Amino acid sequence: MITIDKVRKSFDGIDAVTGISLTIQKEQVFGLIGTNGAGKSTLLRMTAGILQPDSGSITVDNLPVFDNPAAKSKVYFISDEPYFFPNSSAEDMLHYLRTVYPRFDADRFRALLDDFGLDPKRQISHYSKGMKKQLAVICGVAANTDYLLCDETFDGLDPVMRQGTKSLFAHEMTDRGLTPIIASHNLRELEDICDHVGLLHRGGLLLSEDLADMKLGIQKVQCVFKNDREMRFALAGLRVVHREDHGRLITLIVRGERDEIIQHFKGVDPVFFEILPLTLEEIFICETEVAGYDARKLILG
Amino acid sequence: MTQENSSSDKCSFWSRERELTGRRSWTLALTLLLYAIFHIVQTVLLLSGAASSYTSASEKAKHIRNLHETAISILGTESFNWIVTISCGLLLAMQGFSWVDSRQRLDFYESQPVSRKTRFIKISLNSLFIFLTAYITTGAVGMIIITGMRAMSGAVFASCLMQLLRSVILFTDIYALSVLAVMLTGNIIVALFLDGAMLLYEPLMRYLIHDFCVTFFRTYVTDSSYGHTSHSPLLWFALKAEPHVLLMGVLLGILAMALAWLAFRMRKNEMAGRAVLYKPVRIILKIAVSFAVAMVAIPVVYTTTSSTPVCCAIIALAALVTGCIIEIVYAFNFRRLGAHPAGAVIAAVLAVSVFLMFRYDAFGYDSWLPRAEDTIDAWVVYDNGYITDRYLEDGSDASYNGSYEQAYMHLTNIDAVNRLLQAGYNWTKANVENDSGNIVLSAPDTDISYHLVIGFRMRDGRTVTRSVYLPDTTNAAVMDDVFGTDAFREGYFPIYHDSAIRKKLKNIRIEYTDGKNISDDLPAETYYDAFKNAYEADLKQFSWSFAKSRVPVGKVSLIIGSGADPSSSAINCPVYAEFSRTIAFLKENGIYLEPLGDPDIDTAWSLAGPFSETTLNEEMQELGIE
Repeated sequence: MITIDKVRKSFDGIDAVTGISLTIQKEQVFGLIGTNGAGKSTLLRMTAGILQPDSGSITVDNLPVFDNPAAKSKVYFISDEPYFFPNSSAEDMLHYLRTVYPRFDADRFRALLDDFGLDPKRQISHYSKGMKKQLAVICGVAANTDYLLCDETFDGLDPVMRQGTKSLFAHEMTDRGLTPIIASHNLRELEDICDHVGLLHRGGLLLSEDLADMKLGIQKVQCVFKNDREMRFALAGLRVVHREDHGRLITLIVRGERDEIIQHFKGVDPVFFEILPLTLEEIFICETEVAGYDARKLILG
Repeated sequence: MTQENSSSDKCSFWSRERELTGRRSWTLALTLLLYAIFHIVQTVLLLSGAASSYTSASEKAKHIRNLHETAISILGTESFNWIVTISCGLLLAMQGFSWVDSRQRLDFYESQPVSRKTRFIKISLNSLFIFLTAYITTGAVGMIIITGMRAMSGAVFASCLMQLLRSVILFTDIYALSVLAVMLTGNIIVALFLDGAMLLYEPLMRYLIHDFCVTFFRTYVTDSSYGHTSHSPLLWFALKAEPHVLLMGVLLGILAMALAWLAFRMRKNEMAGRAVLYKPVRIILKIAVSFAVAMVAIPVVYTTTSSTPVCCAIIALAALVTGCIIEIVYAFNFRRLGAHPAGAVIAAVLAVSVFLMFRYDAFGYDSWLPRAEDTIDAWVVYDNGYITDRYLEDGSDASYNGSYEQAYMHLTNIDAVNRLLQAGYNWTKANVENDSGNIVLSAPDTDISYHLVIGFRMRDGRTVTRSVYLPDTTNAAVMDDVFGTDAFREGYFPIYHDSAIRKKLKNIRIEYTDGKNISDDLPAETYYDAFKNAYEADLKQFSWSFAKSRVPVGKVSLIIGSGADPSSSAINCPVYAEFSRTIAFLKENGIYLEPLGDPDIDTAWSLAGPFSETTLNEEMQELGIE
């Protein structure tokens, strides 16, 4: 478990992170969402032990992380601009990383290189940006750490590779209990992989919730009524968070369990109603609108 | 995951060192190449160029001596390989820690499960390993070549080992200071600048102080050494460090390394890329650099204009402008040039104060007199003495640098020396000017008779010297209280400390001249002791009053080597008419020549003894000779 407790960090008088407290449980995918400058990278780098918080604490399995090899051996950080030694190949990086990470798995590394079609002998400087990111992910997975911190890792990956990486994470989670923490400004990218999501804005934490819990308590309904009177009667019993009217077609986002909402609509006899899947984006927009923020500005990457 | 892949052996210290050395292989190759040029190529070139043909045992001995000296100049304590050592220290420090300036590389390294302490030690030990590998490998090959060319001896071997020790200390010092510079700054270029400042600041200040003394003081001894620097390994190493200075080098290296480690430990990664990381360092550096630039401006400005207010203004301006430039460098922003003006103002005030202190001799340099209780003894170098060679007891030439007097003259009547010095101050300040480092007479027709350098050995270990000028009208008692003492005679005339002469008696001839004719010579091996006894007894008459009014009637010369050999040297002993014992010795042994009676002026000058210049000058004036 990674515990972030009231962490603050400022640079040149600008508060990059303001009093964030978070708990990241093991064996779940944690998504860290926010626009540019929200503090995602700063928070990740503090969690990786690269930066020291001005105040507060960050522990990994109850071990303080800054300048602590025991804690850092549990964490692998994939930067938004991964670094590789000049004139080196993937094989060279293997030789280095196995001297640093005690559980580094060379066989797994080579197998993944093969799976992703990367030549181990080829100079990394000749790789494309996407290939370098793939290699960085492979290094992280092969390091066999408990936690994998990914800073905008999916940027630069094509859809096939993106899906491949997600599958890889899923496999590692199942196989050995890896906990990925993924920072991104693109909600749609993380939708089908994250179990828990934290939304950062201007250094602060707007919300942090399990995705399943969020989806359980909120539903998206499309409905049509015979007349306005029936519509008002039907909507009166609902906790409407968001409403859009397109002629007689009404799209609602309402709080409540799915069964509860179905029972309600069956009782009011609409012309038509349907419960639709909610995207993560729609959930966030609704939640943050309630909090007084126009989340469209925050999360539409 | 297989067992062998995840073995903790891969994470061992030695496996990491091997891996790091592999990544730094180009640095190792470059270091090897540089040392190979000095230790191997140079050895072959210089030793094979030494002449190997000789026809006598003495030539063979000379040839072997040359080979040994050559070997020492390549690998021993005379070697210039310190240039490579300094370069390697700089290169390995900058290259080893250049990653601290890059956010991308910081993310890579600092996220790894390696503590800062481990990484610091690993890189430093690896750098030392690279240096030692290159030095010892090439040095060993060089020594094999030296041995093969028959240039090796015990002394050469010992010299090579000493140079190895000195090189290790020098490397460690340069490396530690360079790492400190990297840790204090966030940018390699600024780190290089700070490194240069740390290495050169003290030597620069010592040189400037020396230059100010030459420029502003009338009694400064211009050939004074700067003294050993304490804080820069550059100068003390280049000036042949003595054992205690080597110890200082070790301490400097330890201190610099400790500070570098502290700075690394406290370093905030988010400051990477900045010019200077730590606020106190920024302030100190700004003041130090602005002050240094203003100090350099002092002699430049003063030689251009002697107007004190103008000099002060330009010196202050130099400090302020430098301060502005430094602020621009700190922020990488031109608009910041006026930020934090206090530092530049402090530097300007300090520099102007230093200038005024020297300009007006605020500390009384040109009037300093030691207290007797603080002084052990003194010596006087009389600059216009008669021409003679002098040798220290170890055989080294002490003819022209005052080292003979400094070694053997111990004037313990400090009050008498002070009276002499005070007379010198009075006359020098009244009649001599310092024209930007050139000592000139205030009035063109002023007669200077004597130029003296007076030195004091202080109880606190210092040696203090002053240079003064005196006329021949100086009070006789003041002069004779110094120049009429046994201590002066024993520290002035080379006959008293004659170990070097005695070692060469077989090759020394004693001859006498009246200024025009030269007598037959006597072998010193047989006659030296008798001559010495007679001459020393006669010298007891010698004083300033005695010598001033007399011109010697002749001169005994102890010729070392063949007179036809241009490299032969001579100890000259003036013989006055009153030196009855010496004249008796010369007569007894058949080499005395009667005085010429009325020698021409050239002959008289060839016989000139100490303090007789004024007598001869008067004579020349009477003769109408300029």
